[in-house]
Amino acid sequence: MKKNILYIWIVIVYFSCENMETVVDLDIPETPPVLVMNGILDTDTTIRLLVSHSVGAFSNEIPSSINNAEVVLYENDVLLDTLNVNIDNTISYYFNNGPFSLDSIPMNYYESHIIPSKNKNYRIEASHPNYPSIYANTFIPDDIEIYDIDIDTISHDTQIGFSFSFIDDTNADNYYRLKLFSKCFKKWENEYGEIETYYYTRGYQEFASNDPSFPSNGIPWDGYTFSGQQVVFSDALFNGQEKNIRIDIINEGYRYEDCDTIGLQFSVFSADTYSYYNSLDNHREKGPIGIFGGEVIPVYSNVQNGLGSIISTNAQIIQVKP
Amino acid sequence: MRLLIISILVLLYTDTYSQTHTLSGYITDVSNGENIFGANIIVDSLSVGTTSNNFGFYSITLPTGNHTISYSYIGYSSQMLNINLKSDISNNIEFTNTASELNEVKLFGEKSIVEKTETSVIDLPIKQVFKIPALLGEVDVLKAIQLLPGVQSSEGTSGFYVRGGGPDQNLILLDGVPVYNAAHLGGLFSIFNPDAIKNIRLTKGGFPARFGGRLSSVLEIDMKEGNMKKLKSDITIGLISSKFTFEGPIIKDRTSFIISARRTYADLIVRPFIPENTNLNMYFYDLNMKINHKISNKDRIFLSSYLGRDQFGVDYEENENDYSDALKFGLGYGNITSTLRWNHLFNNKLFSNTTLTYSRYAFDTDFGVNSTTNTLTGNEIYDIGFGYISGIKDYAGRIDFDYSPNPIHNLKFGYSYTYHHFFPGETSLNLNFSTPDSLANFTLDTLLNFSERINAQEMFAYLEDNVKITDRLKANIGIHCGYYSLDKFSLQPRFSARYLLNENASIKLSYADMKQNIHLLSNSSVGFPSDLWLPAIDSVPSQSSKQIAASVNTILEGFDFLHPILNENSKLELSIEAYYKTMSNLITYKAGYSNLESTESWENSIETGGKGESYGLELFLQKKTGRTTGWIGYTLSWTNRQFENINFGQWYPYKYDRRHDFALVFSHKINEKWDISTTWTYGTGNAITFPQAMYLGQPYSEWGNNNMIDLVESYGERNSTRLNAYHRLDIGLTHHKQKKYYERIISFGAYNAYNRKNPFFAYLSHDENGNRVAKQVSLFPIIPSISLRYKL
Repeated sequence: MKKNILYIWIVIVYFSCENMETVVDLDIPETPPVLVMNGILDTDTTIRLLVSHSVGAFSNEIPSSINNAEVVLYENDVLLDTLNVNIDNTISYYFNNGPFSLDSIPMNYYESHIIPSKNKNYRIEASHPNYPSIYANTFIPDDIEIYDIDIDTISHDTQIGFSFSFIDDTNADNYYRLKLFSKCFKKWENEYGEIETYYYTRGYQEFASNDPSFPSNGIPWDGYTFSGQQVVFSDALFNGQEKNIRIDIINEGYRYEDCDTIGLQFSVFSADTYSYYNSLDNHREKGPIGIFGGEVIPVYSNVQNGLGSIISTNAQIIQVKP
Repeated sequence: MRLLIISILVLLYTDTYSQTHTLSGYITDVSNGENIFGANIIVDSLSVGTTSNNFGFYSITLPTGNHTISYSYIGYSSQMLNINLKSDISNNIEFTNTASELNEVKLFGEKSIVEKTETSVIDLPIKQVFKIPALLGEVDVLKAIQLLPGVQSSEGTSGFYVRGGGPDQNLILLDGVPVYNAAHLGGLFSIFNPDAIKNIRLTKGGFPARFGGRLSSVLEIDMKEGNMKKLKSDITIGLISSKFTFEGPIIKDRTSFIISARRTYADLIVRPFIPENTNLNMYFYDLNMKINHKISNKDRIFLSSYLGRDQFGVDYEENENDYSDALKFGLGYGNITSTLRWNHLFNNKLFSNTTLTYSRYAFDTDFGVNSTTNTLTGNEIYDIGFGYISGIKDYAGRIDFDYSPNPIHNLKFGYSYTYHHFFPGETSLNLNFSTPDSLANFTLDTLLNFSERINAQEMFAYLEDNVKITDRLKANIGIHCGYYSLDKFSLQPRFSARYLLNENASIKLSYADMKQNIHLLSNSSVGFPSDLWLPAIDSVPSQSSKQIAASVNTILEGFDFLHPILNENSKLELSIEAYYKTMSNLITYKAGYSNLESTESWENSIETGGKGESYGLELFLQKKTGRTTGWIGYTLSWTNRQFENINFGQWYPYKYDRRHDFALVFSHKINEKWDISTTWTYGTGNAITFPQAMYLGQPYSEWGNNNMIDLVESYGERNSTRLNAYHRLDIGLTHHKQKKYYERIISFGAYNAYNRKNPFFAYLSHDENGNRVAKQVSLFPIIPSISLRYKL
């Protein structure tokens, strides 16, 4: 009897130690494939965008480029152009398809010869016999004049400060993005007499700020409420007013004299674009739903009847150096 | 309102009997002197009756003459009293526990579910709670509550959701004091040590006017008062904890005490396996104490207190010749509640209960690193300390009157004042860098407040009349007038009525308007001790709800074919209840927000102005007496939420929207030595937001590669996917052996007996072949348990 009880106990303990993560069938709402359209309209380049299709969450199929859709462009509700696929220029895009799995997918752009203009509404429609037709609207805001650009290299030994001002348009809800890029390096002669180069930065640079319009994501004891490689913010706190922005480069060893290129990219967005970048940042930061993660943040889509995003930007570069 | 007051006064002073006298007294258990709450006092010839209040007091006013009074309470032998009422009489009753549960006791006049005016109220006998199989052998009051219809829960946690409400919408009262976090070990167990508990009562709707401050339920848990007759002890040794209870008279039949303590010992078990330089603390404890004293037959005082805390901490030290490192991490949370209560009997019609209470809940965490390095020039010391604390503290006073002027009316009225002190998140930071080069030294000692401390005052006055309108129709009509210092006055009408169809069946209807001036900010995935209690403010106004409920109640008798199991005179109580509830000004965290990660102030982290609706049907079939006891509960319900900035402003299912919820609780006394018990629960899977499609996003550049593209998940509507259904079987077997001086009870149990992998949460992932699949995480496999209990 005692032996039997012992056996039963062992079996129970064995089951107790089992892996409690299992693959299950979930009854998710049926979602037929739809057209997906992605593109960024800016005032410096001709319009081009990608058209693909969605797949079910549990499908083993990989979404692929659709090259036989009909894509038309409207400007302020006037038909402007039909976009054609550039078959001659196939680009392989890489994407993460599971842990440690980087796959590529060939894609072709739909292109137009038109460069979009500021202060205009654009609508892009796409249709394909196998999918419901889709469309998306976006608006390109007016230019923003930047002034009072200042570089502060003396307030602190190990960091550089930048500041500039602009006036926000009273008549519109404006959304902005700020990025900073630089190339900073130091050269020295090593013990063999060779010249070595050490790059502090090449590309987009981390910066920090206490601007109340920026999202709060900083570590409080760093003394900054925001830090990151780019910031997307709205004019909710300064609508129609003069706005002064101050950012600091806190990378140790980053000295103004060691940089041969420093530039600020300042963009003004429509609401759609702001929603897209905001949701994308949050989605990437929070990741999928988890036990500690709260509700998931979906990536914003402004494509009606489909998925993806057609967004727009009016960007300018403030060339700080040279 | 004016009409209501006039009506009450008219009814109050309409004396339908020419000359009346009052019979009053206390009802106690003869074995221990404990007051009995909810005993029935019935005069069948007049079709009138009453029940004893929370302190065992009853008062019934009757016409002059001869009457036969019956006193009854479940589990006790009923008593009949023939009385010639010529003047007011005080008559204390001592009930005798039925000698054996093997014989079904015929309780004269016991028709509580049919006769009571209250709707949506369930009394859960503590004896029944002890019979329910428990996770790791830890008998748990809240886990038993979760098995009742209209109550939803999450796997493994002791939190509960009543009729579509949030976890913050339950007013949990321990001896009349609100408890703000009733969970141990992050929710695996509740803080209520069953050994110290006497009564459990859950009200889900039709709230009487004396209750306020929460939208969805009131859970009253009363501690035992302590044995007035003799010294008793109860010792239990379990797998993860042990507990003891001592109770007895200080002055026989006048003053008694009870002290009950419980502590887990996981840290003591794992200590031998932990390196010497590491110290691990991982435990929780509870301490319940109560002392009560009968000053006279008219005055009695009680002093009770609860102290409980969860503690998790790791200390690590490493010492070498040239350096030493020390790391400390601690996380703790706990409640302290205290009650000072004075019962006073002004006369045999007017009883008062005055209560002063204190309640505190605090969560704290601290982290510290100390590193010392010996260098040629001296010591370099780095000392970093980080601390966080949040919580709520209440001071409250309350007076309640119970007045029975005549056989028609029973009035309750009173006043309550609460002073809330909220401290929703305070962080301290100490940095001390000391080096031989004094220029590089750095010291920082600062306090960072993400949210300000807030004080708020809350008060209410109430009046309710339990009025007998006709022999068949009885109603409880009340008004609850609230005032909140950060908001304004509110009037909350309450109403419930019962109509007797016959002596075995009744229909009931209730309406309750409720307001809640505090919010709980809780992460939407799982509840944490770090969840914040916060006051309603201008930008985050008070929550409110309106609930209507209707029920049919009956007693079923004469199940001859079940006699081998149920014995003769088996009675089953059946209620079928429908409800509809709307809620407004709900809050929730903004999408993606996690309170463990964010440094945003709470006001900026939430969505406000939410609406909610919940409706459904509940069936409750209960057998309370005899060798076989238990219940079947079934709930069919719908629960939805709507926030302007969530799900594009469209209504969506609440996470705990459960179409079907079923519970079977069954206990059977096989013989004098063996009991068997089992529970089986089934619930529709929780609603979750889950990827429904995948698509390609905008191209971007990363790490110098300009041709990157994201595979983006499309989620569809909020909470549009269901986790798999939840079902679980628990089994318990108990062996009793009466020794010369004590009773020994050995309990064996199996939680999740058929090892169902129930969903806790699910996410989109890949299998070993790279295919996209849904992966489900489960918490508890089959868990066996054993516990040993000695009752002296």
